[in-house]
Amino acid sequence: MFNSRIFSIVRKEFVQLFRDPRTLALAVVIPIVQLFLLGYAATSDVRNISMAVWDQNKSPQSRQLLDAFRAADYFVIDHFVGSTEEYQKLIESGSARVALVIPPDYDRAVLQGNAQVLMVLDGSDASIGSTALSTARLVGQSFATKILAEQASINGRSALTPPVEVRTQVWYNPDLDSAYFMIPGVIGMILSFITTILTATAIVRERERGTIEQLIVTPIRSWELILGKLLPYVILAFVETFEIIIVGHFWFGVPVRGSLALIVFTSGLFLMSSLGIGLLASTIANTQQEAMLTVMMYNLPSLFLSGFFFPLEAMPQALQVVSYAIPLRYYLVVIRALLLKGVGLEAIQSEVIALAIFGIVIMTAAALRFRKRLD
Amino acid sequence: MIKVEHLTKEFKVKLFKKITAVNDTSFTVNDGEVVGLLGPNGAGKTTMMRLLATMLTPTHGTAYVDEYDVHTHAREVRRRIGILPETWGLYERFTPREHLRMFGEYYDMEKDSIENRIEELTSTLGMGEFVDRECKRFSRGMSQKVALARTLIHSPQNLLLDEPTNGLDVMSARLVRKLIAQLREEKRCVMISTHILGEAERLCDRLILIDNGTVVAQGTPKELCEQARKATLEDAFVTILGRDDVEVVL
Repeated sequence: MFNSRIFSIVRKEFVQLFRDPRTLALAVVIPIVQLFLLGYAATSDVRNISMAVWDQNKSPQSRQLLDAFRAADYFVIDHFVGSTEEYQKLIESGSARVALVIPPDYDRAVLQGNAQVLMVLDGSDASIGSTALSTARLVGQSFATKILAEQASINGRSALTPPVEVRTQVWYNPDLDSAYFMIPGVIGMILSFITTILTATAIVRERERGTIEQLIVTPIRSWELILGKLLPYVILAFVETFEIIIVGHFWFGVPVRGSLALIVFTSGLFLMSSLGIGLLASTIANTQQEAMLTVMMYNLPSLFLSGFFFPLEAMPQALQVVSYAIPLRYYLVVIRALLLKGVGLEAIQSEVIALAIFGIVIMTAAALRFRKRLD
Repeated sequence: MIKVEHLTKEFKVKLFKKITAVNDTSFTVNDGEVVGLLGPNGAGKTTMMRLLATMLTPTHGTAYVDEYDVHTHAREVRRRIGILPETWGLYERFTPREHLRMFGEYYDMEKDSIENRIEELTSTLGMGEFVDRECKRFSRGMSQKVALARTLIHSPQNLLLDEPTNGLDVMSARLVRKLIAQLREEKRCVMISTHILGEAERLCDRLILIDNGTVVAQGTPKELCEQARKATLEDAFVTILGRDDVEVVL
């Protein structure tokens, strides 16, 4: 099956790739850039929320409360203010996201058991606002429980314990680090974006530069040409996959719990869809720009409807139905499960079957449309 | 040998609009013959070449290359044909040697035969100075030579040459004319598309005049002059086409 003609096309593609620094950079450097961008910048972890404090009490008790907020690791006390206007200005300018107001009689009220503090939150950014709100409540509850326990101890009584305690266990990602969620997703994104773009443009470029005419008039068969053109991008895609897994594992600490063979197998199935889309785009587009736009029309909705950024469960029902038609949706479930949970094939079999069906259908459709002719 | 039988090629330009680039055309080019396909711009010369080279599918009729149908036996035809297209289609990051090696492999040639053929073509076409340089900044003449060498790498029996001396300096053009004469001696079937009448007259045994996709006359240059009752090929060309708005290069 693998004859010298295919080998010759594969070699030609690699030579072209290695002699074209721009394409090589796109293929090798961009995955790493995206990995770092998405691993660090596109994080949903809300930490280091800037806080303004108006401590009107300035007592040991109020300082204890501030220490409790500091210890929570979510807030950074950046500003101490002396009036409502001051913290309002800070929130308006975005210098502070929350403001904590401790009343003048706070220490006395704590002893009487009816102390109240005010937490003002900037709700314009919903994700920061909701995290700050829930964290502030938790800090408050925990601090109140601690004070009750101390008071009980002073009065010689046994410490009060809450009637119900919820003990939590977070599996697979104990620190709820969003890089764990993002980095497997980056593999899916790279396999989809880079592969479709490179495949589509590699074929359309031949048409644009008139080199396809010479390939047509050789005895190379259509399937040999397709295989020869696609194989280098399959190899490149696997190099990129391992590049991301290695950097993700050693830099971001993302675990690799599943079988590497299964990762390669399922990535191969997903690649069939991406390569097929690239090939299909090359049969539609006449120029490289058209090819890029065509694959972007596929890639962008894929990204948003696959659960890469936003959970599918949070989407409207109609969009959830649409997402079933997107191969990336299944691959993200598979790669996250393989890397983070270390599952076997049985746990992801329905997704694997879906990937295989998509791969075969898209690749067959593309191969049938691809003709070694100019008309 | 190339045999064209009632060949027609239509292109869809709009939803319900078609243009006919080649219209019910028939002719034969024998082995050991150099035939010129002449016609004004847009006459259908390039489409004809592409149909014969299996790049396009005929709408009606067909053509045979060494008795193989261009439509149903495209692969056999491709083994027996070499085409020099109007656009060279070179990979700018490849050297001429790499081009020739690669295309030799596409034609299933043995490694040794490829290397020998590369040496032969490099010497015949005077490519020694630039055979190992990337094609990126090649002049028109250099690119034309590489494209011509690539066309000849598998020693095809049938050759379709679109403007073979295009962009070549006097010496190189002379070299190519000599090569075409040699191909005739080797009993190969050569078809040249050109609109340079002087070159056609000098190189070709026979001329086929094509206009609006149809053959309007064919014969030796002398026969065409007699048919049009004109002393020169240029006058005969204009008379046969029945108009004087065509571009003629002497």
